[in-house]
Amino acid sequence: MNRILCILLILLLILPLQGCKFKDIDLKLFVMAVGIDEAENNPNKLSVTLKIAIPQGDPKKAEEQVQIITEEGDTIAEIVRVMKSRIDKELDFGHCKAVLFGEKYARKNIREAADWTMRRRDIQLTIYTAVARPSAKEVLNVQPVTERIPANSILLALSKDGTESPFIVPPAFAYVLQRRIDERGADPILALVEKKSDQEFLINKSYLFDKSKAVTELEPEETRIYNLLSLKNLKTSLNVDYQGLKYAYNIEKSSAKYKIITPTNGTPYIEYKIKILAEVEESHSGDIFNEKLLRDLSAAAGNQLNERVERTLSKIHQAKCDPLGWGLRYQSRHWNNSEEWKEWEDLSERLEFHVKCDVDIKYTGMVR
Amino acid sequence: MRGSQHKKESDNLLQCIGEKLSKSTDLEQRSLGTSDQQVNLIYLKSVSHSATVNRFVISPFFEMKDEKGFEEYIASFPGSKPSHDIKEILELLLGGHVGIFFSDNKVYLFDAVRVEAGSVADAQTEVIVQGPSDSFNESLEVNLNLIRRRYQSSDLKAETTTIGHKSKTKIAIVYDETRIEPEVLKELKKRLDGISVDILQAAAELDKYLSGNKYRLFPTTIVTERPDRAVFNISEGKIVLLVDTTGFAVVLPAVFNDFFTAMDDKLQVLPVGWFLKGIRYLGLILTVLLPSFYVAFTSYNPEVWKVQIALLVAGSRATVPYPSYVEVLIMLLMMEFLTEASLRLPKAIGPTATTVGGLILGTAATEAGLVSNIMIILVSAVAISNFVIPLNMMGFTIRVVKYPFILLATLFGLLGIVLGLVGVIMYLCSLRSFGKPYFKIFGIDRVRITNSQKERENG
Repeated sequence: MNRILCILLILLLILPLQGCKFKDIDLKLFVMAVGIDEAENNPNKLSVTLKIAIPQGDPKKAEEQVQIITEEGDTIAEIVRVMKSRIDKELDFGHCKAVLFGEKYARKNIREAADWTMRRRDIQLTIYTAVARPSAKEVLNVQPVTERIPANSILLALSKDGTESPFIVPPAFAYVLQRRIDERGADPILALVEKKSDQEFLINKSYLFDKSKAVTELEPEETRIYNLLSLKNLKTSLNVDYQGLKYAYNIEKSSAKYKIITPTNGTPYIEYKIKILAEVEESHSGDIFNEKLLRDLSAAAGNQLNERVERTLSKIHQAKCDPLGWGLRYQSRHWNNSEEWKEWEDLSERLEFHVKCDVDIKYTGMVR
Repeated sequence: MRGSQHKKESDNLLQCIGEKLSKSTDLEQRSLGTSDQQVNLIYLKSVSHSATVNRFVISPFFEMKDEKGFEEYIASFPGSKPSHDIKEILELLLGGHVGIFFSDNKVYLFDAVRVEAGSVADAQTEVIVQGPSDSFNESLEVNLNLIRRRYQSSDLKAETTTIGHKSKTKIAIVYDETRIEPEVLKELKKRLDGISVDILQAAAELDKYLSGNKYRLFPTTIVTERPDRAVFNISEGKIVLLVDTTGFAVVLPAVFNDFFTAMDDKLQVLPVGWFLKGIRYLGLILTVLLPSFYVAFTSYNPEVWKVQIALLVAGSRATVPYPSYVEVLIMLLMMEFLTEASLRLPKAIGPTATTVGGLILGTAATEAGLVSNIMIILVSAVAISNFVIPLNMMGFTIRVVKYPFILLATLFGLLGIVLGLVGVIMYLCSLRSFGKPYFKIFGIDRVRITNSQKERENG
């Protein structure tokens, strides 16, 4: 008897530990994506757009219904509270998958928005962040015809669970964004989602950030080179001109390594070594491939890629951004904690890039 | 002088065998004839056919009046065999032969094997795909026969006692003397002595009286109707209680894992056996946790689900007028009613109940918007995975265990489920089956004991 009383008492005592309140799922509204913009008329105010999924009872129909609401105010928290009185059910950010920053807002400062996503307890740290053009609100209003779950298409594209485009930068989860904002020696880089029409968006560019401020836009080609440098085995094809004819090769394996070299006298430079194993995917010549042709093609491809990579690197360097984390690498390889950051700042001004691309086109593709 | 010496040798043999087979109540030992013409019979009643013995051994002896002639008569029987090797004699006795000891020191083994075929029915509650399908019936003799035929060793002991002031139910304690742990036997005898009831009619009842704690949740002894399971457990060093007039045997001590072993696991290829066992444990986890997970996820932590499922559940719950735990309880109770009803109904009406209950009620309830579609799937999954458990005793327990989990999930959400799991595991660990730890999933030291045992026997 005593034991039963003890158990009941313990159950009673841990009642406040449950964390959440009992609220049935049908009394909640799931926010799928949040868009944060600068208010249209007042640059000091924020405008928040929520894309809310309306659940469908019949799974066979698979037609998505969303509600999009926009509200303006001083802080995001305040705006969300105001929004609560415009809807009938409780807002739940547990399934929120993406936070989009409007381009104008991103160019100013995203610090407070990043802070809000980190602090709010029901937003997961693994949500995707991206910059939206022309504004987050308009991008959220895009309804792709292939979309079955509200806001799912942006999520699928950004996460690379769906499409595996080489023009989309690796996912910037909320925690990655926050870490890169805080960390000395690494800067955020976010994908840029553009609205093409009411039913289509385009993600093939990216935005370089100087900490929490968007600075420079990377063109599709540069975004792809960035991906090649930061990811292993990037799935893409590249073009090469050889003797006036076009060839395209598909990357099977790729890896990029770099070293920061500081000669005692002379300019410091970063040496990039890129190794690519590839196969021919398209040839405009009609010739039969032999080993010599493949070798020559590889050499030409290596040279041309060298140039492209160097161009991209110098653009990133000129923007004074560090999305590849060179500064962090430099600090990790040096011991003098008190001066190394100063040294790096000083050194990064004069940085040069030496790129060595080793492209090995090994296979001719299928021959049949 | 010589004659008396012979006589002594033969008597020694008889005495020795008698000792070997002592403590077996089915042992029958008889002396025939007068003092100068004495023939001794020894056999096991349970495996030898008494009518055969009477007709072909005892009656002719008195008809002939001449021991020499009788000896020739016995020797001429097909299947009769002279022997002096005590080991061989023992083996044949255990196999159902009758040992006939003549006064001139000859020993014959007369074939009187008893075969019970008609009265032994197929197993009903523990059906398996391959392997023997016979089951214990209501006769203690037959049940002993079923076990002896499968376990022909002199180490097998069968002691009887009676329980019940009025019913005087005979109970046979069957065990392998060399393999059991004496403390368990001692504990069992102590507890059997302590039982004071008027009537004992089922093996499961005995199980209830044996395990001291009335409020325990899990069965600590196996109740089985399969002789092969009983024999297998005897060889593992366990004790089998055969209860006369029940058709079921009680095996003890039991560990948790025993309840998830079907007898045809042994017959399967090893990876298949592992797979089947894995499926049973998966079924256990599903049937206990699915309903409570549903409550916790719909009402506390919807973010655990994938978006698709969250929206689907939210959509299908839109018309449901009461909170998730009421929905779960209603459907689970309906399922329990259905199981209970189809269990007790005559075989002819059974399918009707299942159709009406399962198909019509389920579909109608969803269409009327009283329960969500997901709920129907969930309840069926719970019901089916409950039936995966091979032994019914455990199956019934598991049916009950899921309700406290629902309560905990309703009060505390996911935290409650974790709490419940910790509690159940602690409770299982605290259970003892006749002094042996109950929640010993892999039974490692049991295997070690039997291996060393086997070595000792072979060497």
